[in-house]
Amino acid sequence: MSINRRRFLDRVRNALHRKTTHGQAHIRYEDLAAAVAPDVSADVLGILAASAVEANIHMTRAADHADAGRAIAGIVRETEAEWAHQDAVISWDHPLLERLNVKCLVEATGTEFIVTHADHSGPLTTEDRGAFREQVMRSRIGITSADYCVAETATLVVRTRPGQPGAVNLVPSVHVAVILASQILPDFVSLYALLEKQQASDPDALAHRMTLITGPSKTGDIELVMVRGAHGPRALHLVVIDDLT
Amino acid sequence: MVPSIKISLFIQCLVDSVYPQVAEGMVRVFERLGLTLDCPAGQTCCGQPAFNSGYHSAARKAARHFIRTFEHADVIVCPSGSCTDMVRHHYPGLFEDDLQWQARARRVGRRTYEFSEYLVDVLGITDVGARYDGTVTYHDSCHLLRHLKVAQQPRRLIGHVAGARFVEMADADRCCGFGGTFSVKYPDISVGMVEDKVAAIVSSGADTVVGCDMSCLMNIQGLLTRRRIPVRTLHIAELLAAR
Amino acid sequence: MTAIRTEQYKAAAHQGIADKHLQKALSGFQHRIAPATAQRYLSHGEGPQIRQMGHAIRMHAVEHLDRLLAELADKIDARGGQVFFAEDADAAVAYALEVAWQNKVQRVVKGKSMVTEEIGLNRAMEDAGIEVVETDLGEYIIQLAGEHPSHIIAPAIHKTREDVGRLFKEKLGIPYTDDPPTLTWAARKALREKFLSADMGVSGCNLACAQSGHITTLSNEGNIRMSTTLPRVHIAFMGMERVVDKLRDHAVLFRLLSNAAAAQKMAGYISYIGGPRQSYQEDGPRAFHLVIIDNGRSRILADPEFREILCCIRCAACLNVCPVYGKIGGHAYGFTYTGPVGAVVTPLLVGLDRARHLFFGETLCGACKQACPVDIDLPRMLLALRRRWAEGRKTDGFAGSGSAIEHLAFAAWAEMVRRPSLYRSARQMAALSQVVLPHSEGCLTRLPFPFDGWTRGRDLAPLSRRGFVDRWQERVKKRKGGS
Repeated sequence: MSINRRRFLDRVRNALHRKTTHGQAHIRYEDLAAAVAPDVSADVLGILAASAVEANIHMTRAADHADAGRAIAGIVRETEAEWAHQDAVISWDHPLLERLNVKCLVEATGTEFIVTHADHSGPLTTEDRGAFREQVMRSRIGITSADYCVAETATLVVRTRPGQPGAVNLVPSVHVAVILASQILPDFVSLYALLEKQQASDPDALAHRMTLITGPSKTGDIELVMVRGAHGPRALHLVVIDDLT
Repeated sequence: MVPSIKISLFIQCLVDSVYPQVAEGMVRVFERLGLTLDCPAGQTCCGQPAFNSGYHSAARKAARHFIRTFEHADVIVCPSGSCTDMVRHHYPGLFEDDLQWQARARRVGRRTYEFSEYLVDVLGITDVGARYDGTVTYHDSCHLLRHLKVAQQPRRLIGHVAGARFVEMADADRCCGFGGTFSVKYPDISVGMVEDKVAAIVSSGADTVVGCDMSCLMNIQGLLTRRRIPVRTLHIAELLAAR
Repeated sequence: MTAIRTEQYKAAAHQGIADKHLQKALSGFQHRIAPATAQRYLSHGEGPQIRQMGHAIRMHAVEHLDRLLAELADKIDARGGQVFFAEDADAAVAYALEVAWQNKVQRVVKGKSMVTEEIGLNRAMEDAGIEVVETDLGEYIIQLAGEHPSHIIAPAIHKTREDVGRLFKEKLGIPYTDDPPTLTWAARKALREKFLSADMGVSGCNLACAQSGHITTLSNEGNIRMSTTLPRVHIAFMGMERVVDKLRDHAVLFRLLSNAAAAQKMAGYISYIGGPRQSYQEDGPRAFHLVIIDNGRSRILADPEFREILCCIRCAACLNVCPVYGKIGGHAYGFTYTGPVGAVVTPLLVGLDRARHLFFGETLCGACKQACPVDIDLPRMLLALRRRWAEGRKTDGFAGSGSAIEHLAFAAWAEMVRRPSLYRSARQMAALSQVVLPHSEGCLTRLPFPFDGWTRGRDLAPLSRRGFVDRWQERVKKRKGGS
């Protein structure tokens, strides 16, 4: 342990020797209710649909994988390039996305469809990363899945894994996310109960990077006028395959 | 239900010295209700000005004098939310190092009420038979609202004044900018804030603004008079005493 | 440390009050966001007690800070991140410059971070020849204009769209427009190039988590994600108190923070970052540094009356309801932290004497405590600061020099207040002598120093000839005499 760290933490520890009666909470931390079990009867799809509207997310309910694939192809057709040379579409290498058959549908329109790679013979090289960056900059749409979606706020929970880089839902102008309805959790409390449980058995459960995405990029910094498309994607499409009914 | 106990009047120093008619109003209202009153002659000031400026030792001296003057009272009623807050919430803290005085302070604090709070919450009265011809709006004083949590009581009392039309102003709960010595030490900011308050009063269409703290009303009245704006300021005791 | 201009409170406040656009912007902003935030607080399943839950979470973390910081640092270390414990602003800045030098950094993209403002990071980097680009739109505007932010969440609140139009025309070379979307997208384009070419990304940290070993960053724009994903180095700065114990704490605090900062249900982007990229990752920085900063916070932690201020999550809800902030604007506070939280934390960081206007120059109205998502008792601490300034020389810890004259005046006042007959005589004398003061229509129009501040803008009701208590005594005597 560095001297810096030891001295720093010693100073903190010494400061805490003095007890205080000021500013104590009325509820004890230990008594804060442990998360309740999620209400499985809740109409999570309905709640999500309402939250999505509030969060400016274009949500599509798909009856099955084929339906989802067609919906995405439609989004690709309707989305114009924002910058020059944004001709392609890039997708995660993900089992759910593979089943949608989007690649064929999109290539049929003459648009390049790039898929990231999950397996590598070894660690990625500078060339690999350079190529990836070039691919993501060339893409006007990034297609990903997610680990969960929180109905209460229409929040997508996305962890970084092999073949599933974060830049795909960040750099292209439009983000399309595809999930199964069974991945929807009712609220934030149940999401975090789940994450904590996972964390307890696997210290790397959250991965090096986890991102919660709620809607497209936006800002109100000029006279509080809300504008979509600050630095991240300017539109977010959520395609939910209904595997519940 | 009129209690047989005696109400001791805690006349705020400001009311005593500058607005005695407010205390007169309070007395008239209580006498009409058939209540027995007392006004301890030794009372001076609760100590809030010293306390708010950080002079706890001076505030403690004032507090001890207050406690001695009032601790034998059954009930203490005050026409000021900020003074009531001082006695109820800040006196015990002044005596952290003296448990005996702290206990005395707590006992007095438990028996101290703001005027509208006492009428509505303790006596259960919202109609005192008052009559006033005019359009009335109400300013929420900060200590009364946020520390004593008194908001609907004055409004209910105003609502029962025959002939008075009540209008709610925008930002009724926004600070008027008095803040004690702040009004004198930071006059630009203070006047800027009371200008906003007066603008809200004028926009409401009221010809009368009522409040429960003369410090706020003195501040508001000061701007109304300087700018020759024809809105009357009344303490709730004066309004309720009107016939 | 960044420049400290707290002594100029009165003059800067005066400027703010005279700035008509600022007045309109602040009023519009406060009236829009404050009620919306209050509504959001009431919309949770936990009920209104959620704010007290937030308080418990924060206070628990503050009171276990040594353990939590150790846990956090260990976990980030284990993932290949580098944690530096910075005792003060100089140490933090020196470390950052060292990292920049080692990585041959020429261009930095920055997310909004109050603590980096506090330590004066931008200036130090620029002096070292590094280009620093603020990427939060409001901060970007301020940076182009060469100004300081005036609000924690909306830094450019004091700028009109016309101001921004002129600024972008001059600095970005685009044709003049005052259309916010067009201006925003011009910044989007300009900054995109910076993100893609920057060598290092700088961020703050909203609330780290000790249990999982991550920092977190929140934004709506996506600029922090861009800044911490694309460049090859990421350095994050964190006030040492900005950490929670367990992941479940985030479930409560992120909702409250989103409600408080922008009246949102949930912020657009929350990133958990626990270390540099892994070998399989196509993107992300190859190096991750976390700088944990003390810079006076351990001293605040040690003070029983002020420890509570470390619960603050920097949401700016208190700014959004404060009638004083709403009148004077952020620049008057003369330091990084403005509004009610600034009025408490700034004196504790820079000294009570030089920052005394911050805790004396407000009215203790209490709106801030009501609006705080974690129920911090700001008015209590403002009063405590006043006492430390007035009488603090007797105590250890934070204190001011006070005013001998004022002390004497209140001591004399206390003697008078304890002696009713003396008090009444003094009052009587004052009531008689006020006739020499200028009057108009029954009101005093000019008071002598030091009370002249009142009458500069207002009239004052005069002292009445006889006080009420005296009148009552006479009435009682008469009745006794009559019966």
